[in-house]
Amino acid sequence: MDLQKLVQKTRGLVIPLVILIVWWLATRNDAHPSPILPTPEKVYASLLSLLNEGKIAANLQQSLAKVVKGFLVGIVAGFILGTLMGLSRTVEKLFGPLFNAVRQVPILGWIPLLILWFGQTELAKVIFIALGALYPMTLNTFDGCRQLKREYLEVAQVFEYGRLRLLWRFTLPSALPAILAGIRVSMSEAWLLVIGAEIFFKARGGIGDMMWEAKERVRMDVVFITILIIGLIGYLLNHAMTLLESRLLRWRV
Amino acid sequence: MEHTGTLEINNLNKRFKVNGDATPVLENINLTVKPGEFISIIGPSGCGKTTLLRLIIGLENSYEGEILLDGKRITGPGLNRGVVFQDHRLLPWLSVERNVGLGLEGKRNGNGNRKQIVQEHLELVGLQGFEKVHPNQLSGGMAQRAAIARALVNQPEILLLDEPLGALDALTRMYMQQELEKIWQRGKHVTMIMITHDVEEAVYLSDKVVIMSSRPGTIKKIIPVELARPRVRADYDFMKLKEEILEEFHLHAEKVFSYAI
Repeated sequence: MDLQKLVQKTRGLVIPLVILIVWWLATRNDAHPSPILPTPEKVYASLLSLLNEGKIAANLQQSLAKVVKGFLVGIVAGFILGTLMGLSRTVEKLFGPLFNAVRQVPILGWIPLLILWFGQTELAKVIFIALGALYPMTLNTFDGCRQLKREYLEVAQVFEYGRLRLLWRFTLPSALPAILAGIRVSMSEAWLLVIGAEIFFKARGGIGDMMWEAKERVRMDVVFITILIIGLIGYLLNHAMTLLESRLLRWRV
Repeated sequence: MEHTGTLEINNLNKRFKVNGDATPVLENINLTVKPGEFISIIGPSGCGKTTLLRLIIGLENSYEGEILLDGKRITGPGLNRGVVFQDHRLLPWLSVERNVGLGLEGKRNGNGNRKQIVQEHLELVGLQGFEKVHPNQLSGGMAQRAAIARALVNQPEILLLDEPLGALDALTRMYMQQELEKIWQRGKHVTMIMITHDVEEAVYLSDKVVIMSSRPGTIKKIIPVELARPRVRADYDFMKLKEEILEEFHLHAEKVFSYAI
């Protein structure tokens, strides 16, 4: 194994490792462990017991279920809206101003309305996540559909392509990089918002709820664990998207 | 079917609107291209040769006069005319095979038949074995071959080429000129109209060279090339004809110094 390669591949782990050591040194000699900064050993022990009890798996499953539903609804709606606005000036003029105005409301600003309309329900949370995924997906798809070069459009004209075949063979493939970027942003948005949803909508279950509950009980070790899990899942989702993109966009290289 | 591929241009005038004023781009163009002929249109940049080609393709509309293909007025693009652009315009997201098959997708012929037609045309341009490759993996010359194959799959009556070899390096270009001639001959002499700015290329390939002058674009002269094929670039008659055409642009040898910059 090439040593240089090994070093290059593991460079990203250096800073986390340093932080871990500093953390360990800082908490090593405490006679009375501080409630706000647990030792690494304590966090590790709690992690193992939580994993054994199945608590992490159960909460993670709840969170992911909401993310998947909201994300799918958001990207499908965003794809349709973005494509229609991208293809038709009329649709753009009809929906564009409203879309851009509504977009100015921060996602968190929808919480009161959603709670009053749908209550503290699973549906309210899914809508909340879907809304967050909708914006980037719509914008990226719209931009992508507008990017078809005139040169390619002329090729379609020369071959007498109708609207549908133009969309399928030219517009959408040429928009694919933008659409995938939209999916990527929507996905990370959905994952961020599920944590928010679980904290703000007072219904039980999920990683966000687990974190909030740990805060109430001043269980800093559990708070730490939930932060780590949220970060790790976000990282993995992003990484999966990167793999998908490089696979689907091989023709761009 | 013997007389398909006749192009007639009668009293063609074309203006472009620039800031409200209509500037003439093409003036009084008259040209007849017989089936199976290879015509080159040559002229300085800005002489409207590309506009003329785009009118024949059908990508430019609104003109005065007539452009008739087999007696029918051209009103828009159609599959009876194949087009090769200077930038090959292969779709980067499709394999060579799929790019070449683009023109067949609307057809109701079976999948197997379509595959066979694509294969035949890939063989015609010498690209067999590159079916699954994407355009970004091709060299300039190969990409242009694929573009030629794509333009020919529908068996157009006329192939319109807009400086097809202009972006290639000198050696590849000469090689591709030979290839283009072979394709033309093997393709049962499809009518070809090629825009070029390369005099030697025009003489090498064409039955007739149409010389245009600019502002507004008019046909200055049509020079028939009656040399036996395959032509030899170093031939005396070849050189003489080349010189004759260069003279039309005031670029022939005796005056060369007065134009040196």
